[in-house]
Amino acid sequence: MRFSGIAASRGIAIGPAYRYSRTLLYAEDRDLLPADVPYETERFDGAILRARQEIEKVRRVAEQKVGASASSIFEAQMMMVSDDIILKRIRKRIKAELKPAAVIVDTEFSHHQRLLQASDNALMRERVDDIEDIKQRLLRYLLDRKKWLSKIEVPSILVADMLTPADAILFARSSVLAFSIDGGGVTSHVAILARSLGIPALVGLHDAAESVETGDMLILDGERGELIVNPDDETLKGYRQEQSFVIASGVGVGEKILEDDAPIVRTSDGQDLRILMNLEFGNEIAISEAERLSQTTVVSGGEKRLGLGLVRTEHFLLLHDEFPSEEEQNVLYKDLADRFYPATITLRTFDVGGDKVLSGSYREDNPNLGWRGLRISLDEPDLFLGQLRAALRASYRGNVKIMFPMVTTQDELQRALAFLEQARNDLRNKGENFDEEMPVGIMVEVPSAALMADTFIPMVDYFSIGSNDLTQYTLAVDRGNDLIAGLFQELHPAVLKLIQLTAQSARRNGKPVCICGELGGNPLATPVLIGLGIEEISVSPSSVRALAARTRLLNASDCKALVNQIFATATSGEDVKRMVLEFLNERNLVESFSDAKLRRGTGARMPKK
Amino acid sequence: MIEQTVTIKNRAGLHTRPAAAIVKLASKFESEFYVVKDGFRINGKSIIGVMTLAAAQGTTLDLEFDGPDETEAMSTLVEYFEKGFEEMDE
Repeated sequence: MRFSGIAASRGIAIGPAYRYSRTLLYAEDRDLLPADVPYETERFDGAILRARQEIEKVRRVAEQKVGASASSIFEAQMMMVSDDIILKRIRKRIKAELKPAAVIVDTEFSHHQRLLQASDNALMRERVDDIEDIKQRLLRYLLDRKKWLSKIEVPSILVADMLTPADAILFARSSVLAFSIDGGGVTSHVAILARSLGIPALVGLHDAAESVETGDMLILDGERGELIVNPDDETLKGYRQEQSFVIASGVGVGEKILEDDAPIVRTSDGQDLRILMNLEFGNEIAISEAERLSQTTVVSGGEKRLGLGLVRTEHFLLLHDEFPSEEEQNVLYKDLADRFYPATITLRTFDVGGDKVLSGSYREDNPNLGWRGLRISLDEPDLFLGQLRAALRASYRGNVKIMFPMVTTQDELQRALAFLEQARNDLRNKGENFDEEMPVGIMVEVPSAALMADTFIPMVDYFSIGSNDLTQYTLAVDRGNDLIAGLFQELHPAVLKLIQLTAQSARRNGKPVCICGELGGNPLATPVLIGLGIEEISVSPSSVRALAARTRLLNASDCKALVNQIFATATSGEDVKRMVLEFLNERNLVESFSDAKLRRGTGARMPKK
Repeated sequence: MIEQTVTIKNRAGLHTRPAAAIVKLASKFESEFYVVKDGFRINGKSIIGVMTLAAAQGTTLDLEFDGPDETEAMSTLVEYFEKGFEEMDE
């Protein structure tokens, strides 16, 4: 049985399935004899005690993986399971109604869930799941069901209809080989997280999970976007060979990039490309991985270590539903700047809204075209100034850059820069130490910013191109919607033209331009970006090694010719892919690009060769 | 018994963190504490109850206090609501 989905994180995994779903438990109604009440109450108290122990354990893991502030959600859960008013009411009802504890627990918690469910506030409705989690924990004990596997005993491919980012972090602790998720899109948070963790992942499989049972043999093909259930021996053999090839060609995380590695790699004809990394707060695993990569790069000729081209500061909101204070932020930023010193870290100011909507009290018809990114920061001066001061204070060693997301108009940038100046003044008045020259850049991710790049560049120190959003806004495709995922063509010539405009404008003004979207990690994009004269590419830590290796194999003049050819004839993203494949084929680079999908080209997202 | 009407001021509304803080504050007092929203009355010392209110920004709530330290309890809780749960952006 085969299912096709979207390859969200590359690699091939072969192994048994671990079917992850919380089969919801319900209590069956029956009557209790009055003599059974003490026993039933005792069982209930035992269940509460064990639920508390379990939540405390999860809290400790979370604290270790994602830090104290993000783990506070589990503190709230602990309060919920210790809610004396509810617990007393349940004990009273067991006695008065002569029903088993499970039945009372079920009705009592479900009652509160229904009340929450009725709310028209999305943030509130999500709390239904927090209560469900507690209810299910209690029912599990009361109904004598087996413990949930909070970890996988044997190396397995996790199959789920949906997976939260927190689930992904928890499972990443144990031997998960890959993630297979029915919902989601290629740039959903779980997908991004999987790439940072270097774990292959498929998303958008629609209805695969219900056809898979724990123990089924699976092949998860993160190259072509396929999930194969109980494959025949021949298929399995072919994949095992391919898997060893993929491993040998090395997309592995944490290995030394190459013997002579430095953050700058050179094409065969001497054009430099600086490699940087994308990170988000809250993902301690990826941060440690990036730190290790940074330290293993050679420091030669005054060249600094591998730095961070994009730090998504808003990311720990995923685990924690509020903005951090200036002090909390300063601790995070300073810690990160110190860990990567002398390399530079680029902090992007809060980019919430759209798919990461924070304020449940607002509902927009078109969130992606609505109140998000810099627009929110400009409307919330205290929040914005707090973040800018926190970033400036972390810059005292001169290795912090800042950038603004979703810049659309000149006026927005002017106002953002005025806030930055105000933040500097606040710190000067307090005699705080900071980098007066801290570089400031903008994300070019809205077509208007790319088209008007010449008017933006004199006001900033650098551009950073967010290819995901630029593709989304240029092609009018919601990147998170798997129904139209095929229309999300990041190599579409329209997108490439906007990248070219942006890069030319920066180059004419002697300022750097960086690509920091998913495009940077796409092997087919490497020759195109080098041909466009891009000097910096920022990718997930797991993509660094492959990007460096590919760059060394390319000749920049050839790549420029390829780009000219693309602009002369290509009319779709598929055209561009085909032309890049031909380009690689002519140079015998297909094998060395070590990309199974380039060789076989039968994948869901790749054209037939 | 004394009571006072308050309005949710912060943008995110009465979400998990403020709900937990309210319960902690209320538990310091001996007086009973109830919150009434649209005629629906919950025990303010129950975090699940307070969360269940799902009170978004702009929602009006009646706070009821009954007991020996009701005056003190009311001023403490009302102050926390007035401060927008200490998460006012502007």
